[in-house]
Amino acid sequence: MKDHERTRQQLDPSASLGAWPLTILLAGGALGYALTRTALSTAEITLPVLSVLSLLVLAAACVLVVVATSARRAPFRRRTHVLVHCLVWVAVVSSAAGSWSTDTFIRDDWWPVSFGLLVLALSPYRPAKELAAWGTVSALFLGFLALLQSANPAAPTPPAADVLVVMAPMLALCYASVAYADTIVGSLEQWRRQTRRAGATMVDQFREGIARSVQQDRVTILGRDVLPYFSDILAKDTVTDVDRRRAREIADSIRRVMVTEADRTWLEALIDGEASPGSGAGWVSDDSRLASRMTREQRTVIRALLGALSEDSGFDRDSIRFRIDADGERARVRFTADFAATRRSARLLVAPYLAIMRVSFEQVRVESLQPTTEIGFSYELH
Amino acid sequence: MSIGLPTHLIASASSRSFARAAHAIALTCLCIALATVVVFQTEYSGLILWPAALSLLPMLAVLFINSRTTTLFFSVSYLLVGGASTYWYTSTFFSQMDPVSHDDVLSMSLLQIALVMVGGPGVGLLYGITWAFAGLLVGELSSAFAGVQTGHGFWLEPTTAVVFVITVAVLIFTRMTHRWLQRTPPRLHRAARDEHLAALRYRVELKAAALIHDTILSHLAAIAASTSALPAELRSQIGRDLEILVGEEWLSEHPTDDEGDRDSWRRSAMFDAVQECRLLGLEIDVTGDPACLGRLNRNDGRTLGLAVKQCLVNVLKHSGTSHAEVAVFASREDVSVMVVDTGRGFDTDGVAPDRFGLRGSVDRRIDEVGGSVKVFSTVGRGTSIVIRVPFSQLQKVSGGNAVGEQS
Repeated sequence: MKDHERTRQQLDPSASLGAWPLTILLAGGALGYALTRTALSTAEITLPVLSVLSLLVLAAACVLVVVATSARRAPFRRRTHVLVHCLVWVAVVSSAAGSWSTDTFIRDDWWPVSFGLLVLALSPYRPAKELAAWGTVSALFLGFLALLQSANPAAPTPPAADVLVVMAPMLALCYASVAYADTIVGSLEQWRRQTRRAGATMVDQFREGIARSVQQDRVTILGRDVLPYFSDILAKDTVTDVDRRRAREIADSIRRVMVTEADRTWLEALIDGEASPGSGAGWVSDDSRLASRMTREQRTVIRALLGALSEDSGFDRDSIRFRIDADGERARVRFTADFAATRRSARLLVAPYLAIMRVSFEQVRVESLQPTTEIGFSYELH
Repeated sequence: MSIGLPTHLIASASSRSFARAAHAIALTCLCIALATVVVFQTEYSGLILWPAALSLLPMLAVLFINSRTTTLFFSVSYLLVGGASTYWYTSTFFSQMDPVSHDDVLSMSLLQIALVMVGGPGVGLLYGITWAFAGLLVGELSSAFAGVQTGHGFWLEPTTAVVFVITVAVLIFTRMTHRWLQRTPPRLHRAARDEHLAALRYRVELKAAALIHDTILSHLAAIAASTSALPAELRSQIGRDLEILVGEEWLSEHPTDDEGDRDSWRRSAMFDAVQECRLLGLEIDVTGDPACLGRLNRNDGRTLGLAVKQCLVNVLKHSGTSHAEVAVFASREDVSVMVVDTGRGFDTDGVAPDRFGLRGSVDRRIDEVGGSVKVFSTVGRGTSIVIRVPFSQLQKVSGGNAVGEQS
């Protein structure tokens, strides 16, 4: 299992799927603001090529943010975060060079606001500390650039004031991003602690019932042969060959039952529960019992996905197929199921669970060919 | 991954996070405004601009309190104090400098932006928009009033209005959750609960399997290997085990409630072992009758404690799960401790003899006190280790807790 970072995307993937429209809005806003500001200050541009290049690089950064934060490419990693900052630095330097000696009001340039909006857009995807560190470094970079540029004698304000005013939007939006990320992750972690405690209480509540049910199962099995046999043996003075043969037979049959039970993985038990009763459908091909090597988190995601599918009227419960194969230190899973529903509605149904699977598993891919949807994924074998 | 916030908590968590983000923006704006005053005062030493810095201090103080305890009273106080500070700050600058000469759109609007970011109490979109609008109104009016007072006319700041519009857009998008996404958290919670219960059932089944192995199968093997009459000891053992198996609740798991029993358990070496392993991060359920450990002599109790600790350390190191169960049973003759985990398990035939420290730290130790160790494990399902330690003769005579009487 992959280690999770303290990000909303990794701790609550389905909710961050809902945050994606805001990411698109903020990235689009960053680019829109830069285009507007550049259009309003064309008179100050001395090297238009550099200004255009600057906007193109910024657009690339915005597209990168939108594409890389999509649930299909989750999780958003640190290297992509750093790449976004580097791209905007290039765009900022290019923009500054395009109007180096003619930029009267540095504070009116697009850099701090657009850059800040992009950092805000990344709030659900990176840890608060990392957002703070890179945001502060970038704000200092903008301040330094403003200081260099404020040597322009036409500027009517003190250079230090320019530095402060240029850094202000970037810092404000960066720390807003940090505060949002930190609070939402804190809420998630607090909820997780509560559910853990509630889980322990629930286990206590169900413990006795489950123990009784398992005991009843065993007593039923034992009551058929074992208990009468032992009662018979205790009532006798000697043990005959027939008794000894019978002891071996009973032991073999008990062992067979126990081995069959032990060989049945949680996934087989789950699929048997999902398929129509008596249909004989629902099929798991897992010769090496690799399903047992999934973590509790991974099992929970699979349970939730199957639960969602079984509640959908367009889903054929008997079409579930799981194939799990070992591939070195990994297990590769191919899951297929048939939907009577349209391709789009099938995709909408599984989308939140795919977002979670992309965090819990690796190499998650989905293919849909009416009526069958296939989801492939892998996980480490511990 | 956590299983995510439940639907009923999403709105409040979102509002709290938005308020914290708004307060962070407000604090940054006020700090930058403070630094700007210092810069201008240094640059234009002939002017008296430092009172503008003083105007920020009460606003910063109320912001700090409001961010710690976001209540209606503190949020309204922040708006009132902020309005006065904005008037004071703007008047100080406008009374001595021509706003056109410094054209300092942003630094003049920093306080107004800080007011829009009041982040008041209340869950829901309407509350968020109302607080932001109240901040916008107070900020603009305070600045406009200062403009009129200092002879610069009715002065409105467009930057703040733009910030307000962006804030509203962010609020709307933050609250925007598709209906199909709202169904996900309950399903995840249900799946997590089912997984929890399935794990519990596996554990109980494992315990049952180990008990059956330890009783029925070993007796059947003894009978199959016997020559003529059964030894009296085996007869009595079969009789006792039958009593357990047909009796009520042989998998019963309720822990002791009796004060004296709890003391016996807390004084045992096994209690120390369990506590130590809990500190290492292992969640351990103790079930059965741990008070019966008080009937072991000190040496046997300590040996059993060390052996159980080794088993628990093995769970932590090798099983891949952070949960184990220690079940304690007593008969008239001996005490049985079962350490159960539903981790990855292992093939008992294919394991090196010294693996898991079982041979050195568990087997030999228990051998020395006349006990026995049995390991039942299945790959992918977990491991169950049953340790039996006999009571010394003295304790056997004094101990009255028979098999059928165990809790």
